[in-house]
Amino acid sequence: MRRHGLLKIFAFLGFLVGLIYASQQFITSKNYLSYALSLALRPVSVAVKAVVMDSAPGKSALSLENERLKAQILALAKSSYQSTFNGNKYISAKIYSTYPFNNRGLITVNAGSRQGVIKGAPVTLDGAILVGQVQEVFESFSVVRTFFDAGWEVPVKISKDNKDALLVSGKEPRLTLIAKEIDVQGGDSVYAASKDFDFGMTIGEVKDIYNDKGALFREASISFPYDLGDITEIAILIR
Amino acid sequence: MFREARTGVSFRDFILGVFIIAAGALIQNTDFLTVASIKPNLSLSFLISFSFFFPINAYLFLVAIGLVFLTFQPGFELLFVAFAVSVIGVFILRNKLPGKAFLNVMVLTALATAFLYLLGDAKFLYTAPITVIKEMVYNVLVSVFMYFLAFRLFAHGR
Repeated sequence: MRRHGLLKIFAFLGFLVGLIYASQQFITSKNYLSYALSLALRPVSVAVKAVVMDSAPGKSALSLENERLKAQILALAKSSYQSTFNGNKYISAKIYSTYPFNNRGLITVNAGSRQGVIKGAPVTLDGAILVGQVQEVFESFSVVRTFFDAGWEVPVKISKDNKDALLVSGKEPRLTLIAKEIDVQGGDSVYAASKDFDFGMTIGEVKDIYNDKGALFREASISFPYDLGDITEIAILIR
Repeated sequence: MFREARTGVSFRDFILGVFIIAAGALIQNTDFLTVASIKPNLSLSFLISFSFFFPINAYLFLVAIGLVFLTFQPGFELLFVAFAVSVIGVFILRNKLPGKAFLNVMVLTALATAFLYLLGDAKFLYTAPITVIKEMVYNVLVSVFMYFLAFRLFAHGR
């Protein structure tokens, strides 16, 4: 009886491995189903959010448009290659699905190597607001790592005075290594200063500043001009 | 396989169970039910509730369906193996807890959520314990809701 039970368990595990392997051949179809479902459920989600929850300041469509325009102006001012900024080629892609568990901040998009996407490419909203980076590329889709995925550290600059800081990604991304003597205020723009991204790409704004007297540096929380759950389309930079 | 004197689960119930698990896993790949950046583990919650109504063979098939529809990208991920171990462990433990079934559902859901991350991504447990606790609470609410719904759908013989 016991042997029979063990055989059953091993048979199931073997079946599971085979099933998981087979299912990976249908990931694109499954992701498209998720995307279609999220589109269908979006009106309900928007209606519930409007009634039940207060929208955070800056999250309305008009406010997002304002943030995009401000980011584009800032990027133009910071870019070393102003003549090529508008000439940068972007591929627009739909967000297929989000990682099903809370420990990662990954999304899949419907553009892959066939569309010219390469690993490490910046992922943006309209070319100016940085959302993340392409992590894995497959033939017809890609996996994007967002700033809500833990374990990613990105050098950034704060505001027009180019104050240095380090963005530590995670469920609640934060700015670290802010020197105590520099003046940082809530609302200051945060933009990328990493070799992986074009200089001056807006990430967000400083939200709250934490001043621990015993620490060598200050930390701050960061607010993003978008809600990841509300965006359906991103633009991937093609180099 | 499908008709048991204790639960009265028929083939129709099994197909309904498959549909619910698949739909839950697909929704889990969206941000539809995300509240304050916390996404509920619908597959885990649904499977834990269903463990009280389905026999082992049907339940294992539901677990497989959940895994297939949860798959996010090609390749091996430990968290998905941890998910399978968690829900199968729940099935084994479900009748060993004292108390009423819906209370056991709550306890099992909380334990399974913690065990899932302990086995699949232990670092997440100690770097974001508040997030795990919030998810635990959310999963428990979903499990209890689904348990009572499953009782109405599947418990014909009770």
